[in-house]
Amino acid sequence: MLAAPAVGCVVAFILLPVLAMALHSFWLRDPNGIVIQQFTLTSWREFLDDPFYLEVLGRTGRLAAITTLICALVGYPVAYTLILMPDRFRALMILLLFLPSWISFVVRTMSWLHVLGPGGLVNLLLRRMGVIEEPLPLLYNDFSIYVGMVHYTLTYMVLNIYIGLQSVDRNLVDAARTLGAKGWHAFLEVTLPLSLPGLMAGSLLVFILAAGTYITPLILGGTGNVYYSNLIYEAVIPQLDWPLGATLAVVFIVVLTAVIGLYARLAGVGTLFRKVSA
Amino acid sequence: MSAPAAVEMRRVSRHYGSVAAVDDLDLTIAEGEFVALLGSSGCGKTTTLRMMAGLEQPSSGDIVVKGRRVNDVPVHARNVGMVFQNHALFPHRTAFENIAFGLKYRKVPKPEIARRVARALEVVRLPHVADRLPSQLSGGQQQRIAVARAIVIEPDLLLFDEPLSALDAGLRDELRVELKRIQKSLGITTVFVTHDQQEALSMADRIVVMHGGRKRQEGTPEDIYRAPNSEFVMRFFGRVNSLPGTVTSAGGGTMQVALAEGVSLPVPGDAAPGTKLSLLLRAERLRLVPDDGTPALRGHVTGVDYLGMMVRYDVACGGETFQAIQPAEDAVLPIGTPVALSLRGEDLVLS
Amino acid sequence: MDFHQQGERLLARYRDGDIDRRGFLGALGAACAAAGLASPLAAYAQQPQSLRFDGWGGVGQQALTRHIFTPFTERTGVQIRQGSFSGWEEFLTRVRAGSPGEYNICSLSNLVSYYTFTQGNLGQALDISKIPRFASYDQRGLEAFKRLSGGEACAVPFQLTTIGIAYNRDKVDGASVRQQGVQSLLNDRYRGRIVGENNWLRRIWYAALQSGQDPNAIRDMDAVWDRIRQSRRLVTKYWGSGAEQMSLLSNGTADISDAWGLRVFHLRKQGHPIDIVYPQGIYTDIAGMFVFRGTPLTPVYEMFDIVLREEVQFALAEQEGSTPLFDPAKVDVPQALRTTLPGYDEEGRLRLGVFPDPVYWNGHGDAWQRRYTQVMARG
Ligand SMILES: Nc1ncnc2c1ncn2[C@@H]1O[C@H](COP(=O)(O)OP(=O)(O)OP(=O)(O)O)[C@@H](O)[C@H]1O
Ligand SMILES: [Mg+2]
Repeated sequence: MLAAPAVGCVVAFILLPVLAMALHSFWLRDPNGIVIQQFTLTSWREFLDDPFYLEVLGRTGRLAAITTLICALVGYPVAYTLILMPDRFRALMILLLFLPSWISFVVRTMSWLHVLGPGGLVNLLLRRMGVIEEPLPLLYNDFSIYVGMVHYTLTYMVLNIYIGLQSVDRNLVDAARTLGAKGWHAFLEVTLPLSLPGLMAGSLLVFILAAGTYITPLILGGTGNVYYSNLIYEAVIPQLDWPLGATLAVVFIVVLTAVIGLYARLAGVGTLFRKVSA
Repeated sequence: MSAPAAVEMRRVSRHYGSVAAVDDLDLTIAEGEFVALLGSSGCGKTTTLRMMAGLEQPSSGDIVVKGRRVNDVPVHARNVGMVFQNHALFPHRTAFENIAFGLKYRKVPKPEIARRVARALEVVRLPHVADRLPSQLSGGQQQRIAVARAIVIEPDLLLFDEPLSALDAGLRDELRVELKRIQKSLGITTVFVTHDQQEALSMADRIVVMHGGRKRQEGTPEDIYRAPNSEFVMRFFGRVNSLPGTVTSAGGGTMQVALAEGVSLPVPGDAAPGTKLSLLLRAERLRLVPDDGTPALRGHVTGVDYLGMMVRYDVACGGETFQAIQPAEDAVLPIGTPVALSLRGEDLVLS
Repeated sequence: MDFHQQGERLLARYRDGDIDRRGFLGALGAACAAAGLASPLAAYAQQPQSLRFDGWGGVGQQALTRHIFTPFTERTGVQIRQGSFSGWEEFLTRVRAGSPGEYNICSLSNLVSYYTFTQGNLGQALDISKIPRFASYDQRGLEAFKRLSGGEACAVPFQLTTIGIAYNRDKVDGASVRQQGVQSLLNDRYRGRIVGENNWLRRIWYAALQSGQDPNAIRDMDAVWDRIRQSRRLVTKYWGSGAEQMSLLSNGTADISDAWGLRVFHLRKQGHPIDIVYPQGIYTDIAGMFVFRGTPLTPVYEMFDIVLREEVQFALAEQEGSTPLFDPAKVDVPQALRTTLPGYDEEGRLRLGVFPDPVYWNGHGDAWQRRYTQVMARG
């Protein structure tokens, strides 16, 4: 009974749109881009006959995975520092972490143009210091895409790890130390494993966010930096091909759901959570 | 030549900003002794304990273990066993792994670890839970495993930070006895932090009463109970009545104090005749007797608190209300009963 | 067809839900006006509270507000509600999702979109004779529109959209660009310093020119894809908007690019050392304003009367860099404009490049767009 509103929300905001999308993928599109509600497998055939789409899907998976890895490596020390900080500073730091998200995502992404560009901040400084003569190619390549992606997703990673770390009882670390573990060992044996649920949740979130962005590659990417969401955008907006766009989107949702399911099983997020919360 | 003390704190202070959590504390604990640090919340007990463990650095003063200054010895090298209020077992490790944790860092060989863990489990009477996770144990069992984890490393010093306060009353009594037994049988020097005077009285060889980061009194449970050196310490161990009186004569360490018209008692002490005093008396030392007409403090019962073995009475007497705790062997006196109060001079303490 | 017949047909459409109330009243009003009637109903319909205009937004649209919409509202009392879009395809999706009569007028920047709009039966046929000022404009644009919609035009063409090859004159030798034309965009010497528009039609267009073909009649598509792949290896960034094009050319990322003349006009106005050349066969398009079906025409004609005024077009040209499509025989374009405006050659003559054939490009659109996406993604 109590679950009814939740179930209602899931149906209304998640299930129905996905079903509508699935339905759309079977409609016919006329040469002018108008969708005719007549059953056809054209879009699915287009998707299945051309390895291109799966190739880009794989490329997108790799981008998301590497972004997640970088975020985890960068985010963990940041979150750990937050935990160690005095309360007053911590509140300020968390505020600072959130501050950029009040600015439009597009503007935030575009601001990297002024940092990484040939006349941008980094190149300017390096040239002033005499480290380089010619500007480094920092923009419009994989590097700038990863910078943009990590910039976009890092906050989510840090916050999740932070919450994970916060749930680790400080007494546990003290107990480990009194038992003979040096600080580093206590971290590896106690803090790290017990904060894994936060890291796992953060990684999943970052992976999904990274897999879904198309703005970042559009603005910061160079030639050939095309990812799956860009294909969906291309299909729907310039090509006016809603059925193909819907097909691509449905595949994306199915694949992401499968990834989440597999991940939950492999990483044992569920069991880990149960252990810790009990 | 006497052996050096197991632990010594010499003029140790610990400040957090402007707060002195521990203030100029001197403490000596003998080998094998069981000392209770007793005090109300925030008085600096945990801080003291953590400094002994090395988890906290003193702001000033020295901590000396067996004659050696250990201020700069890191926690992991101090060989202390610590049991926390909330057991602090590693939730992702089984009971066995929890207990074995400290042995691993002492480079104990595997078979030896298994043997010692098994023995520790027997000491805490839980030989069958080795493979369980903490979440699969009851609260009392978790705390026993925490004790096993602390003793298995054969620490020089065993530190308890209110280990029983999270347990319910029955379990608390049972574990209290158990802990005492374990401590005695192993003979480990132990510091036990508590804010429960019953716990301190029943378990400790010696009690250190703390207040505001300072030591207020130390001594055997009996000393402290019998001869509190202050109203504060006295009040810590039960209900206390405060009686006004006037010195009528004095000499030879005893003075005659008049409590009321025709009621006068010899009280240890020296004060000039005519001095007004406030005298303290434990509630259990105040007796209610039938009013037989002889000169006495008189009053009537205004409140009854029936505790089973004991009854606590509120008695209105003059302008004051006194408390009296009596064995409930006789019939309980109803409210309104007129009573006389009987007390002995040697039970009175000058405030 | 007399007024009664017309009114009854409108009423029938309104009842069938084929036309909404405002559209109905507007159309009825138009019919009333056409029949020379002055009923209270006609008066109401003739003076709709407002018209909706959709354009590219930004300073360009602000200029339109200043020079056209504000005087229009002052004169007629009809308010202009404004919207904006970033691409006509995206706008088309919105128009289709909206109700009939919701959109009235929009900026139209090319023939292909005109063709798509009219094929989708979204246009409102205009009676150009009601817009006398149009007589002083080059009639070739109107002829093209009429051909595409098979009868009356649904839009008024009054500007030229030009594309050229822009380069930084401090970094790139202008003579060489002039001499090589579109081949400059494949010059290995500029590797990493070249940028270009990320648009299937334009890229195929340049590739056709680079492989010596007529863009409106390509025979060898393999050669085209080959040139696109070649370009892909040299280009740092394919830009998606005019603003991006401007920043790439002005911030030192790029030294050469295919470029919208209008944007280069602004770059030059800001003092950047950017020049532009217009090689043989380069893409040119016609721009104007499109009128959607169900829009009351009387106020629209009034608006075009303002839009097409010489002083308005001169002002827009001077401030926004748009190229008015005047008939040089009828209008004397000021000398200052002749030398600065994109789309004029060195002698100050209006340069008409090659227009895309919308029928041809629409016919190949689906297949070529898809192929283009793939080639761009993986070479
Ligand atoms: N990390 C800290 N930062 C600031 N003040 C602290 C810190 N730790 C303890 N204090 C302060 O020091 C004083 C003593 O704290 P401590 O934890 O030693 O008390 P306690 O006797 O163990 O109390 P309780 O019975 O509530 O556990 C308290 O006033 C406390 O607020
Ligand atoms: Mg404490």
